[in-house]
Amino acid sequence: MKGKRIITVIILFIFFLLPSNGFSAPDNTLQSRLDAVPEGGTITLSSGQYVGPVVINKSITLKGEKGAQLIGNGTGSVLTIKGKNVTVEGLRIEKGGLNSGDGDALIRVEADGVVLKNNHMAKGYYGIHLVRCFNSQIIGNVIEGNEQDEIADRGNGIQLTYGGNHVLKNNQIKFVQDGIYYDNTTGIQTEKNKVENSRYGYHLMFSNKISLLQNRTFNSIVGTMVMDAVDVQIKSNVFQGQRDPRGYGLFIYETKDCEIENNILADNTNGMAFDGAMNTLISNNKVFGNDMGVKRVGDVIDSHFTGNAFIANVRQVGGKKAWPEEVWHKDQKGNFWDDYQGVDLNQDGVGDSPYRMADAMLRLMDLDPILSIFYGSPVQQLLEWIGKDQRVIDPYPLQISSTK
Amino acid sequence: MMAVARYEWQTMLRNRWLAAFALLFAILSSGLFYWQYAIYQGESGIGISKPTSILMNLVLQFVPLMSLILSAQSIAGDKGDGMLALLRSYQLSSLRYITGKWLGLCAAMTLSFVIGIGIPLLISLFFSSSSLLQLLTLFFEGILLIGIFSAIGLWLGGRMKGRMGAISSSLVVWFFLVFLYSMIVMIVIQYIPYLWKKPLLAGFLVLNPIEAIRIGSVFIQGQGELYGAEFVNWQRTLSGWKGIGVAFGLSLFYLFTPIGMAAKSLKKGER
Repeated sequence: MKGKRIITVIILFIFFLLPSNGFSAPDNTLQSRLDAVPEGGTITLSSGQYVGPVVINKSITLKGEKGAQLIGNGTGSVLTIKGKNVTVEGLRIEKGGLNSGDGDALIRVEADGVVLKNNHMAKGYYGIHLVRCFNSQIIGNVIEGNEQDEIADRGNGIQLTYGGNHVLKNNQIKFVQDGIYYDNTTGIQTEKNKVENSRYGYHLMFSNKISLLQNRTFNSIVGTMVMDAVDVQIKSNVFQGQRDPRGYGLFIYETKDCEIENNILADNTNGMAFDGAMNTLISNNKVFGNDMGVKRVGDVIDSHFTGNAFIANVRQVGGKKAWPEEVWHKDQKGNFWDDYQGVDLNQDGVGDSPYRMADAMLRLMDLDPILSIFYGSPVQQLLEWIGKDQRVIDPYPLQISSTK
Repeated sequence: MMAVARYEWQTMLRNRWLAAFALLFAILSSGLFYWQYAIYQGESGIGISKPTSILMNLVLQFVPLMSLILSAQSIAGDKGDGMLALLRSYQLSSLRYITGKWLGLCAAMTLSFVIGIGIPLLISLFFSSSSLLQLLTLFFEGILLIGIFSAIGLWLGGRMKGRMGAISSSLVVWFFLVFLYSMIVMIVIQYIPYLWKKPLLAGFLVLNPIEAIRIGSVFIQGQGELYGAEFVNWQRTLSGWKGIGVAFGLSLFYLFTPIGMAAKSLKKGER
């Protein structure tokens, strides 16, 4: 009897000495399963929680069935991919580290040819961090930051650091700092993504050959910020509801060879802004319902607006610097202005007299920005009636909007 | 007091000026809504757009004009045709007489406003890009302006000897408050040290009900970013219930100050 008691006490003692997760099979075995699987193999995770961080070092596929979750310990990256041609699909990944200096991410990719598909990420610093790698496909992922965090404390949804030739498609991102951040990257195809309630939707820095097609940004500070970039295509996107006092649908800064075409810039504080734009073609965009349609912050060189529709903006065009006349048309095709007051007697679709913007208030605001409080007041209408501003002259104003 | 109000209401309904204003409002607002629909059809969800800003200006400019002219000439008419002298033979204080007249005038002009702007406004809700909040704000803005400028008109008319004097003084006051006042403020504010600019600007704007209503309605709708980064704090302060409280207090001030002044001015005339 006494011997049995001693054995029971010893067994209990050993049990309490073991680590608390010592017997929770899925948690403990994921890394070993990843290490054990052969090159080109597939691991399918059934519903349940799996403990991170884990590292994939070889070319495999990691699939999650419905309810499969990979949970980190709040430090470092939850899943680090170091093997080429890895596919990660259908996982929910949470609780990554929050250290911006270390580049903590929910998924950190350091190898080429990685496919990340239909994963759901939350509670980390970066959602996905691609570091010096090429040819990744980031498709259909959902990334959520913490709404309660200050914007400055949040990480970016998808961070691209060096490398390139990635495809980013159908991802949905919200409550982050920047939705997608391009840092010294090249050849990125960005298509049909959606970013909302963040700082910048798409933030390009020192990058080139970037295309943004059919993406959307809502309720952020800037829809797309392009800085020091070369060869950028921004087509058929929607940037709407950037209503912050510093809000812009699209901001182009020190950028060369940029095509901005068929986009909708609606209900922003400023539709578009340019500060150091070289060889930029802005065509067939709909600039609608913004406080200011287009703002000139700095130089605009060898650039042209053609076929755009400026509709229902409180101020169509503004900025401290005068716009060169040649900016407002290309090959004798101007833009549609809803407040154009001329006629088209020869019915060639182009107004018979140039479009001149009535905005004497802008000159007054140059004297004192506080005078902006008189925008929309009866006195503004009187001032505009007294004298028309000569800053914007479109010699070939279109009579019908060609934008959809 | 209610007898005076009833009498004023009945007289105003026969007033051709009132009908003319209603017609003018109806033509202008219907035209604006039509063109807004023709140009911007299918678009929605925008902030304070250009058409809405034009509509707001229409209300800000024409409602004070109508209210000032009609109320000033009404009281000047009472003085000219002996109605005021007759009423004075009854036990009726100047304040009750003015309040009665003001109520009758406001009721008649509100009817004119509802027919002229309100009905096209409501119809436009079904096919324009303006939101219900914007249209309701415009509507209440108009009714508030009728109340304030009827009271100012009564004060002006009470001080003038004939109808012509009443109409001329109304036009001068209208032009001053709608156009000149802002121009003067715009000039003065540039010579004020930066730290004093915003508090003084706020003071200047509050002193003119047209400016206060214009800016207040933008901030209360949460569209203050229209005025740029300089006024972010005003937006934060004035959006929501705090803004509504400030607007309510100021409205009472704008309404009762001229009514009191008009009654006092009439009482002084009696002696």
